[in-house]
Amino acid sequence: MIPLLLQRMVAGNGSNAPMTKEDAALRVLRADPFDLSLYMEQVWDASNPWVTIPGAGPARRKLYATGEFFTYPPTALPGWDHLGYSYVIENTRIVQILRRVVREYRSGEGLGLPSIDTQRWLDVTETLMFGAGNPTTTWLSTSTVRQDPEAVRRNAYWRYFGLDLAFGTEDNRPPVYDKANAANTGFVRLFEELLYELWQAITNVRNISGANAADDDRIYRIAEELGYVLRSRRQKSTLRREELAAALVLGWAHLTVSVNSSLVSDMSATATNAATRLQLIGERVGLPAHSKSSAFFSMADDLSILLYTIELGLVTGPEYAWILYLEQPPTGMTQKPVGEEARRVITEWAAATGKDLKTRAKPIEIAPRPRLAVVN
Amino acid sequence: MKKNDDASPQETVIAELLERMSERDRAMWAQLSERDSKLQDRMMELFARILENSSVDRVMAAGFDSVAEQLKAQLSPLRELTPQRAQLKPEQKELLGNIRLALARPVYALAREDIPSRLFITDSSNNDGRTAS
Repeated sequence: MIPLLLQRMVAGNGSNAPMTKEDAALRVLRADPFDLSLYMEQVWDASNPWVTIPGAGPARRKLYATGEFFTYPPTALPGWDHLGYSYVIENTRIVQILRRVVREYRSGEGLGLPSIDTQRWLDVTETLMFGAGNPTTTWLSTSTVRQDPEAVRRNAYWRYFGLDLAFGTEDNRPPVYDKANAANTGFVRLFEELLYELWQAITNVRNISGANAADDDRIYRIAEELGYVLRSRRQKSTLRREELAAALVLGWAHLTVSVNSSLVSDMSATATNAATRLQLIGERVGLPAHSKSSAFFSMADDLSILLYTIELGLVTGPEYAWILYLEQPPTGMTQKPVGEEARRVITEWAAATGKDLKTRAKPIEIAPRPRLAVVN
Repeated sequence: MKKNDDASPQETVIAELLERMSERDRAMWAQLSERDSKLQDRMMELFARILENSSVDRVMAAGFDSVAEQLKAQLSPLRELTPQRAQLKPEQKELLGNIRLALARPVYALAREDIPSRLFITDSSNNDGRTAS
């Protein structure tokens, strides 16, 4: 949600002049946490999650209309990133690292005195990520029943993707969260099969003479199945609030290390990319970032676009499979397909998981089967 | 042409002349046919490229006039697996456009101050961040 707000600020609209991306980042990083949570309420309402019942009542609407970012309403839906974005960003261990940063700064001066901008950052982070008091809580998805936001996100990741994060708790104990029975445990197998087929298609885009291994029909069938699988967890807008809250939190964390923010400077972690900044901050607080953080950061944005394209059911037949692997629109078309994003996800997913998606995971069995012996 | 032994010398000369003319015509027609055939092959190749025909289509069009339909039916299961690409329907166009518009974001991969050998164009209030080589 935060990156999409930044884009709206950079582009400008009728009420606001365009601004540079650096200025937009600075403005958001210095924002009041209440304004950001109000903006989240506005985006939630704009998405009209339940159709028959408004997402926000009149009081909430009046309240969010007073927020700093009210004049940047979402102009197109979806209004926030897919849960896949949050999953890969959180897999860098960024939330646990930032929790240690907050604890260190709030409990002593071991990291030095925070600058004024960093103090504001601490306020926002405690509010958005760790449940500090605020007139409207970000985590409407948490309560006394489910108090830990990380456990709520782990629950959502499990239900959506059948996946857990690559690490346990901060002190390396197994995570504790409600593991639902209804979970998409077949997601990874299907998704990696799709990535394999997309790679075959990408490599054959310009092939006009040799054998063409691109199989549009199979791409369509896998994409259709994946769409069913993902939508089955989203029926009647289930898990959407959790997805939005996760997108806000992880978007905030992502922005913190995407630029040389005040926190990055105060932690002496200035670098030229998000993964290195996070790695340096992790070293300062004694909690290493995931070794594949670079791959996770690189694919997050593209994974969001690819998963939404699949989940929204854009590929309705083999004749539309090209949407998923062409990088440029065919003749006569203007809308750019998502081949570029698919290629990035294939590369980074392979780097993060160590699986070679460019070869078939399970080769076709060619060994002769043993013959049955005739028993008299 | 078979020569007639009783023919006069004048008739013999005329017959030889006719035979030579006939040979010349045959050679000319052979040349014309060959040229026409090459031209037709080139045209077919050009059309095939324009229409993005498959290799099966090209073989069909090039050489099997009489049995083309029969062979096409027999070979159809062996045609390329890739079906034709269809144009998006209006609602698909709108959906894809929405995804692109909604999920656009600024890229912070390279900070302004980290770009080597670039000159920044800024106005007096330092608002503009365009770069020039």
